[in-house]
Amino acid sequence: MIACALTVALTRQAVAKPEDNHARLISEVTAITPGRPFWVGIYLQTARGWHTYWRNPGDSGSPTDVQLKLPAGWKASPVYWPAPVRIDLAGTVSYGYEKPTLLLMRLTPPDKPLGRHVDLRGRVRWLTCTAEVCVPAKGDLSLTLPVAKTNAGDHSWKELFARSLSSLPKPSKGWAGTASLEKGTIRLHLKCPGGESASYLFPIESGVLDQSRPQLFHRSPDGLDAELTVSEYAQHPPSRLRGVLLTNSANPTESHQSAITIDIPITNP
Amino acid sequence: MVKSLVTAAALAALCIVAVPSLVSASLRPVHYAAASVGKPAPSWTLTDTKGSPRSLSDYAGKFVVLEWTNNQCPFVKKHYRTGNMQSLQKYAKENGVVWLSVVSSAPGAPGYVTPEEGNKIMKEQHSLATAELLDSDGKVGRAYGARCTPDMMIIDPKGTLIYSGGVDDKPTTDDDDLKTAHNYVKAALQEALAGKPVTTSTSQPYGCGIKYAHETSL
Repeated sequence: MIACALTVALTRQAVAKPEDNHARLISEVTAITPGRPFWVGIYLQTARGWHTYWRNPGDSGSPTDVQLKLPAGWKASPVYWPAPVRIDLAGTVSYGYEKPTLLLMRLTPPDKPLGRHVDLRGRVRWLTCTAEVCVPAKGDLSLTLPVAKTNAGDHSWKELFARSLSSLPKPSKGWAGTASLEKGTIRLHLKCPGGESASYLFPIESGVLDQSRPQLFHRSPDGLDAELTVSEYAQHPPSRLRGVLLTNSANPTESHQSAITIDIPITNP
Repeated sequence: MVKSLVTAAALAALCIVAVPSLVSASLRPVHYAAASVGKPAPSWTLTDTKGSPRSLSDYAGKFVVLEWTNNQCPFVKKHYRTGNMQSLQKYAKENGVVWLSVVSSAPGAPGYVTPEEGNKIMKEQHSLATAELLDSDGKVGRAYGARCTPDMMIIDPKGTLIYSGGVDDKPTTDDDDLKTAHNYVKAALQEALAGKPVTTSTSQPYGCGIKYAHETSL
């Protein structure tokens, strides 16, 4: 028992307490206008030393699960996930967020009178881990917004929404790609519109790529080539390569990293 | 306005966590020489929590389940507090299948157990495993490519690996998900015991990453 108390004290010094991790529902607008879509976000506060997981958590972990309960007639988009980072813990590679994150959803209220207020409710389940320990968490989400003829941006969250929306993976406009599978290796060839380079492809589905293997992207005369190892857990040869690609601008003065989504059929020669 | 909470059970998990060890900058990555489904399972000899040496070759002619475990991992806890893992172990026992839990956590890392702690935890869990094996240098875990806890492998009586992957298809820590989960291990054992090929012989395992000892030599 003494040993137990001692380790608690030491652990708390080393990493923040799991209570420091919490979730809340926020909106980009201060009021709802019938028929006008708006963004909401599930803000996951992550204490220093803790991380949460992307939609494909990688070799370990669990994706954050958001369930919103909306009034009748409302529409909600799927969750828009910011590009994750690669979290390598001695060879076990997870995909997630080491900083507080905003998971975004686009909500569309019906174009009809909504009353004076709207209650948005939901639940979020997520797993948060350090390099040493994992803690599952649950949170109730609740946000009440007034209904108004025009809606204004909420200044308190303006910067956070702008930053989060700009960090979402973008459609791969102008890109073209081919992928072929041979002996457990996918050869990916990408034609990039602006001479970009790429550093990593996060597969959206688990069990497609061997996530612990390094990925090497190299330049070819007309774009980029990469060799990617197929997961040993693939139940059948993958037929599509869907993922988020981290890219770097060709212009050395723009040290700008961005992310695009790709979806390329895999041929099996 | 907004509420959030962290489950009490989760907080308790912190109590037995060791002080995080410093990771040296020269740490070499883990090399997985992953065992392949359909190929002979790598041989090994390990000491169990009762102090007896056990080898894979001791079980020639029998089905063997290897279950990588870490009693502090919330994914492992889900399968034990609900009785899900024990019911699989019971099924194995009733059908003459050897069930070996394996702990590959490095000394000082979460999940690492001394033989006495291992025995105590198995008793508390009402585990029906044949034995728990201690693999603190992580050699067997690496040889089998075990990534996380729980990570499940099945070896047939000829010594061929016939299943490698998760317990089921619901990668969460929520008890309720077990009601709708498809248990790959149960299905694979049922098929294999009936002399049929295993329909799903591999799946993405899910759980907590295994904290392996740093590799000192290859």
